[in-house]
Amino acid sequence: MKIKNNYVLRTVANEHIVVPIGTEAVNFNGVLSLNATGKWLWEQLQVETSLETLTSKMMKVYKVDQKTAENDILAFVNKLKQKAIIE
Amino acid sequence: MMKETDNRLEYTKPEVEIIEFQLE
Repeated sequence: MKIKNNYVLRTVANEHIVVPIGTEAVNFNGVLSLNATGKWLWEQLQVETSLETLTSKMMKVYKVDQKTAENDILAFVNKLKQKAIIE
Repeated sequence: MMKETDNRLEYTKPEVEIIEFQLE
């Protein structure tokens, strides 16, 4: 899984905002707001990856157990999949 | 024996808020 191209992430006044550009602006008419962990996850999803890889990386960076990490990553990814932001 | 320090960041659940513009 990977986030589609044509989304840009900018941090403005401590807010992490994602904006679609180009053709994606037609497919998704809106913006995304991320918290700090969401921003970290978004950055990991810029390249093709898997749930196992993301979980492993997250456990190395954050104080979190495997089950919680897996569940939270899945919830995050599924939300993006609903809007066809992840391919 | 020295206890190994945990340098990992405090965890908060990753959140994404989707703000869609209305056909506004």
